[in-house]
Amino acid sequence: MPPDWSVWDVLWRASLETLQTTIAGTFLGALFAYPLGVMAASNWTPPWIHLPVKAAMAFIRSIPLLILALLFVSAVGLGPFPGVLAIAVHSVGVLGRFVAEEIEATDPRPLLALQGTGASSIQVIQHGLIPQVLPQMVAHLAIRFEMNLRDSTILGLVGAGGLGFYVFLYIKQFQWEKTGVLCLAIIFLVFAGEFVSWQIRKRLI
Amino acid sequence: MDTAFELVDVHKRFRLANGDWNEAIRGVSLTVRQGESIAVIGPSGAGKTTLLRLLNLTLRPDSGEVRINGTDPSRVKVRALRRLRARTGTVYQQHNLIPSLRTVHNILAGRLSSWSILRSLHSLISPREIGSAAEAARKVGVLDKLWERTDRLSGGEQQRVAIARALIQNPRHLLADEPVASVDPSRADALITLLRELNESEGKTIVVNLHDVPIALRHFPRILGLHAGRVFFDLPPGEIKADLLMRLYEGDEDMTEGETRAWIDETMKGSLAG
Ligand SMILES: Nc1ncnc2c1ncn2[C@@H]1O[C@H](COP(=O)(O)OP(=O)(O)OP(=O)(O)O)[C@@H](O)[C@H]1O
Ligand SMILES: [Mg+2]
Repeated sequence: MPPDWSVWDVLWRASLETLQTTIAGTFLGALFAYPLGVMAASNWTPPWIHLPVKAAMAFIRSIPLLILALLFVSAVGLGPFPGVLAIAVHSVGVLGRFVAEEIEATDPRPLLALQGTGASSIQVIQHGLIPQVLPQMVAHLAIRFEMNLRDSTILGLVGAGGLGFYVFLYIKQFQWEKTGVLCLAIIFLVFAGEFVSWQIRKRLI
Repeated sequence: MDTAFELVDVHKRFRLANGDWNEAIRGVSLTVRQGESIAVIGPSGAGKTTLLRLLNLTLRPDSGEVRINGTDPSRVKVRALRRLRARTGTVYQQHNLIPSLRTVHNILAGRLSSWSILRSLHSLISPREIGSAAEAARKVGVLDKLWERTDRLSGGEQQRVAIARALIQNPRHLLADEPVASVDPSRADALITLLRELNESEGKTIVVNLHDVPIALRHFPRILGLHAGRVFFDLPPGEIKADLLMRLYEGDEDMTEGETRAWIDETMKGSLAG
């Protein structure tokens, strides 16, 4: 059964939608994950802040992405937007935890040394904390992007847009040739995502 | 004469992982005049580093008072506290530099207290005041390493970067925690001489923790012996006798009694001959 290349138009639009959903969701998630990760770091905040934030992030991680997408589809309707929200929320749970763990693993002594020179707390974060964690932060973000890209290809199964939506549609219509083409596109996209993420991380280490 | 540091019955304890308390400083009273130069000696765990951190205001005492040039830091607002901290430059035992930054940034970190947040951010991207960073680097002999990543430098070079960071802060008081622990003997003397010059020509107060008793006795007019969190003696070097040192280092976990006796005898012979 030869692949049916007449789906080119759908393929192009759906791939773009999946990519956009991933990028928007990952960065929206990161926007919240960094400050929440700082709040969840036990060496920066008192227990009454970091314990509940940690617990909330663990709770988010325990919800499968598809269930999150299903919840957002029923809340805001079909299309890529619930997909973006699902990816964002999921990323907050995963990235936030890594941010907290990286911060907890930093050496406190250089930070105290900066404080001892009379630097302000923001300067201590700027000059002492961020340079210590930045490479790992970027690496985690790249890995998250790569995984979100893979996950978002199937979000369409619950109506949250992208390639998965059309895969599901063509399967229901028994259009196996078109299904095959889209599956190839998914494989290509996931590979491309892994390649980009690997290139970024390679340059950091 | 002005007092630089004044400690009155200061106590500091730390919580251990098993829930117990470890009292590192047990009632220290001490007055250091502006422009004085002091060596602090004592066995490992005596509280030398803790004392230094109480002086540079990165630790608060549990009880007792600490005053810097007559000001009680616990009574001032955050901004004034930062200005007070900026008066004291510190060189730490483990250097405490940011390993992933270039040398120039680690040196310029000594300027943060006089920079706005925007200026310090700008400097991370394109270093400000390179001239003064280069001047400080030249003084301690790491000018050729100014643009290297700090973690690529040798231990002794990092030590000197840490000293440059303290110098560029232009502090009134300079504290140093084992500044010669990771450099060879000829460098060690040169470093101590540099510190003493800053003391003599610029009137900076110098407090230096030293493991190396001969260097302490040779270069410093006032020696503070710290033992188990207390001031064991506070004497000019000429009045320090072998049995006093023997008692100061008694029970040091790193050495047997015979070894302690041997190096103390060696030290006393050396300082008599010199
Ligand atoms: N942050 C801390 N938490 C727990 N205990 C600490 C802490 N800092 C110091 N201590 C303890 O306080 C005591 C004094 O430590 P300090 O580092 O002041 O000794 P020191 O005289 O500098 O020793 P050394 O010569 O080995 O550097 C030690 O028993 C040490 O274990
Ligand atoms: Mg020490």
